[in-house]
Amino acid sequence: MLDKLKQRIKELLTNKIVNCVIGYEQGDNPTLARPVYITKPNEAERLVYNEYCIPILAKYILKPEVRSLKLEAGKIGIIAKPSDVRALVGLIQEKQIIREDVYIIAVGRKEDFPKIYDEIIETPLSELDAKRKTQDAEQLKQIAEFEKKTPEEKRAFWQREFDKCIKCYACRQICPLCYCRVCIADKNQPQWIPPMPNSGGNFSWNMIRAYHLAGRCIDCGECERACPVDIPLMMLNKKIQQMIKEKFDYQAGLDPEVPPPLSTYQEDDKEKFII
Amino acid sequence: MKQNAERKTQDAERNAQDAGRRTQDAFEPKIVAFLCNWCSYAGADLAGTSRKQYAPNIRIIKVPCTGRLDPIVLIKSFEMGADGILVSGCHPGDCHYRSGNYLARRRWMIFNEMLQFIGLEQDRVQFSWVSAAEGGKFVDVVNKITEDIKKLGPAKEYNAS
Repeated sequence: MLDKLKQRIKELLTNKIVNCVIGYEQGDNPTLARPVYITKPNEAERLVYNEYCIPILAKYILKPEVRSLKLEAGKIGIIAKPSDVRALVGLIQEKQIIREDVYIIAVGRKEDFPKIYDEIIETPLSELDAKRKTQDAEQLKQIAEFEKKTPEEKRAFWQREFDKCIKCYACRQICPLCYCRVCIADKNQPQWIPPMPNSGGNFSWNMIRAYHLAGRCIDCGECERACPVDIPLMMLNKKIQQMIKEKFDYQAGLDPEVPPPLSTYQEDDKEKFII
Repeated sequence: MKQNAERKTQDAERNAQDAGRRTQDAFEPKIVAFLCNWCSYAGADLAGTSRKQYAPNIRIIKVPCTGRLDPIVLIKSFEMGADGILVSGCHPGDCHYRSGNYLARRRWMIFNEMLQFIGLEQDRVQFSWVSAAEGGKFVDVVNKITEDIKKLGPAKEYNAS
């Protein structure tokens, strides 16, 4: 499969269909794969694809270096896992990239992808994906369990979790959909989010991060993976996904034509809490 | 002598009464009310010009439209020491900007449930539709939220100061 991938990328680069491919290369140790930009056909040999290819690549398509490559000529190729494709859908939907500028080489099972890729290299379900699926199911169970608690218990739980936050903003840096040039957390006039890691500020940051991804989070799980203090961020994200699904029948990252749920409305949206 | 004794008992009674009132009313919540310029603020104005009485605990902030209100503003209010928040706008269909309150409604639907998932008491943040003609409703809403928050007590958890 890897040979096929390398071969195909060589072809794409030689035929000038793409002028850069974002993929993975071997990292500093065997359990690490890091993102790499391939611009010449002979460099395609550096590519790897294995169970350690976890970091989301869609993030790199917005980097200024990559954008400048695109300006020269041709498209930017990207080796995409299902989560990458969903992130790309989100970015196209929000007009951050143009569909024609990217060439999506999907790697995985056909049924896992939204139908916007340019070509697919089919592989059986990887161990990593299988593991992630069981993790997802576990997390949903955990959420259902958590919802039965009283407000005091919930508050105590989240306060304990948020108190761990050290405000490193790794969750933001890794998120493929957190693309603001100046993040609200970096604004200091007015300073919406206190930079000190205290309980009030941590609450603000974690709430706002989750809220800004409401209806946009494509469920890649990178924020939780990047978090150095293991805050269960995906629990909050998944809960919001559930709400969006339930209330607006929408799932992020599937169709670039559909507007995001929080930037549109229905006159008969149903709620019970407004007096 | 008799007069003195009487005065002393009177003083004691008055002191006891004062002390009782102080402990009873010790907690006066700070409630921030975000009112839209076109309906709810005018509704509050109507309540005022109609000489209606309502709880003095709210601090009104006028916003152009509820659709302008980023939830970070609500979170910031808690951070800066608010005990409760009221957000109020035009009834659906009445928005001065045609769709601001519809958009706001969707956001609140998510934000409100999110706050409950985090474990914030349901009555801390309340939302309402108050039109420019509903001075009476405004009074009711303010009195209700003040009562609710007095029951809940101060919001210490998220206060950053």
